[in-house]
Amino acid sequence: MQSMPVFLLLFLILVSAYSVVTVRHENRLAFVRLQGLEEKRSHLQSEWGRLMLERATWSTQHNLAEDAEKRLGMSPPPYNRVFTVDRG
Amino acid sequence: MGLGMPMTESAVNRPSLWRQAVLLGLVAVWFFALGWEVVRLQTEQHDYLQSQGDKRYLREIEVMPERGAIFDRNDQVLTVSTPVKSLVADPHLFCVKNEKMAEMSLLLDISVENLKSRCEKYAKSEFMYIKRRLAPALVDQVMGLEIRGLEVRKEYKRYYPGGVVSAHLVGFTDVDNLGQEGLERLFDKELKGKGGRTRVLKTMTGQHVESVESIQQVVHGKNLVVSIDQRVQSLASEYLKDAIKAANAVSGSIVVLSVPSGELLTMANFPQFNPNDRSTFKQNNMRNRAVTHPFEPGSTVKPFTIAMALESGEMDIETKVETSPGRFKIGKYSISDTRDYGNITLFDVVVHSSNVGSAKVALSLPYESLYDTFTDLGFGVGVMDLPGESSGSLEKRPRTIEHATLSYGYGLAATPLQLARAYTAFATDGILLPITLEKQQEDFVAKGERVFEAETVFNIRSMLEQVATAKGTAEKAQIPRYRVGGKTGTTHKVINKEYAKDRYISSFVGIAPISDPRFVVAVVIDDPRGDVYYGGDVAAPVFANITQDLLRLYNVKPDGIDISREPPAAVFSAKEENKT
Repeated sequence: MQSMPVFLLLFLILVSAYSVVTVRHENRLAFVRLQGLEEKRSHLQSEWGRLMLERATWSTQHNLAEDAEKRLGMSPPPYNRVFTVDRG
Repeated sequence: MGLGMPMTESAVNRPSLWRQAVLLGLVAVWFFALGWEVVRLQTEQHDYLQSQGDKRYLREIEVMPERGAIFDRNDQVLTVSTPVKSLVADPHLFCVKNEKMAEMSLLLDISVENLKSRCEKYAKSEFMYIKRRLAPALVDQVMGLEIRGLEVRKEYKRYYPGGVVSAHLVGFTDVDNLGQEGLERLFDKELKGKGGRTRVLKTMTGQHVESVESIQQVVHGKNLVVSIDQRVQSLASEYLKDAIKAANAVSGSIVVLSVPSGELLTMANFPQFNPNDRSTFKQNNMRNRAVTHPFEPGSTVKPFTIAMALESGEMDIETKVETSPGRFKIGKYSISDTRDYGNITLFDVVVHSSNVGSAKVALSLPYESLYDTFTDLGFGVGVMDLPGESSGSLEKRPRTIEHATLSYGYGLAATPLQLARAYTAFATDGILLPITLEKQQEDFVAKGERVFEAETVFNIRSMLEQVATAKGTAEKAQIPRYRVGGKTGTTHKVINKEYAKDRYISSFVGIAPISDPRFVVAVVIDDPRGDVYYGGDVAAPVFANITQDLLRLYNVKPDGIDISREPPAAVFSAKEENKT
């Protein structure tokens, strides 16, 4: 019965050693996943940036005005043809 | 003894026990020796061995943070970073016995000599750039050569979709992605984020195969939303460019402020540069004149002088000033008007922009009241922390001639932004607004300092409105259906420390709509050399154009509807029919 604490300690050492290994492993897996997600985030980010740029380019005042005037034949109405309605 | 005879136990055990002991002893010694070596390696040489192993397979690499984007008030992107690839190399691997250097130099258009000299320069470091910001296809091609020590690194390139339109205000970054000018510099800390470090496994040729652990987490830069309205910015820069060309002028600025929020909506300048194209980066094109170039504001400050006079309690708008014969001598100096306006009221001093009237009014009151009023209006101090911003100048010079000239805007210098801000005191009921670049809630009212009483402001506004009529100097500032007002300025340029006789700076500062102001717009045109050069002819029309667009874009209710132009009955009946 005197060897009980020794066995207990041995057992605890084994448990702790095993958990160190497991946690290390889990950590690696999680890190690899994080890397993957970071990569994805970065991809989405650059895609978003590209789309933002595209939107900004299409919607510059200059482009809009030119499109409206040349392609759609629109023009700002002269003020004497604008009626103002007061909502009261 | 036959072979088949079983041995006695004692006969078998005695020699084998001895042999077992020897064997066991040897095995024990062997294990002990092994164990000892393990312990020795672990304790005595651990660090050395670990570092040797790591040197061969592990390396720390920097992770670049993404720089935040900047958006205008309507979520239009002003600048954003997109990833590009750069080629970097580990000189220890790359520079030794590299047979493919010539092939690579051809692809990248860098000479072999250049590469070799750089190899020498960086021989002791673990890292050098080969070429930065390359097209992905080219990078793939070069990486296809499988050169030892060559790596791809992700970097970011900054794009400015607005191009020239908001270039001076937004600014730009340098090759290392640090803000150099404008908002990029002002908000550099928030935008740039913080780089991280990751430990990676690499192969013998130096390609990194797997990230092992993060040493320092990368913090990407924040996205910012600013008060700027890119639509107005775009319109303003077009109008400004056209006006400058038409007037044969050199440069100019427009500043648009929102009232009562104090937000900066627009700051446009000419000449322009394109932040996406480094060849347009010339000192003269890159100045954000609206904050870097103070000028003598001239007549645009007369309303402040008159407001000060009204507040003195000694005069009201009906008080008369004798301006005949349109000239006024102070010692050896002479102040003059463009013509003789006769005996006019304070109201008309502003409407006709009489220098003589303004000087006489100011001289009848202490110099301190005028100086203090101008100080209270923010002249002589910076407005925001925009890079390169000048605080203008306002010095205490109480001599009579300087007292007189200060009253009509000579002897002090203000930037277009300072001038626009001073006018917020007339656009509110007398409060000078602090100016912000932050986008505010729709009903936000900025807290500022009171400079004038509400009654004074009411009177001044009616003068400013009168200026923008046929009776005043800026009929061209008018906008159909809205009541607007403002003040013109035409000052002589200072060239070689003297006032040039026929060189001018023309300006107009206006507010709209008069009944419930929403905007302050300042237009400054420098050195118009055409037939017309008066602020009322050169700057006021720009004000009208930009303000008309502003009022439409912001759905501001017209306050100057001409009843006779209201819709004929037919329009109403048509509408009624639609409803049923």
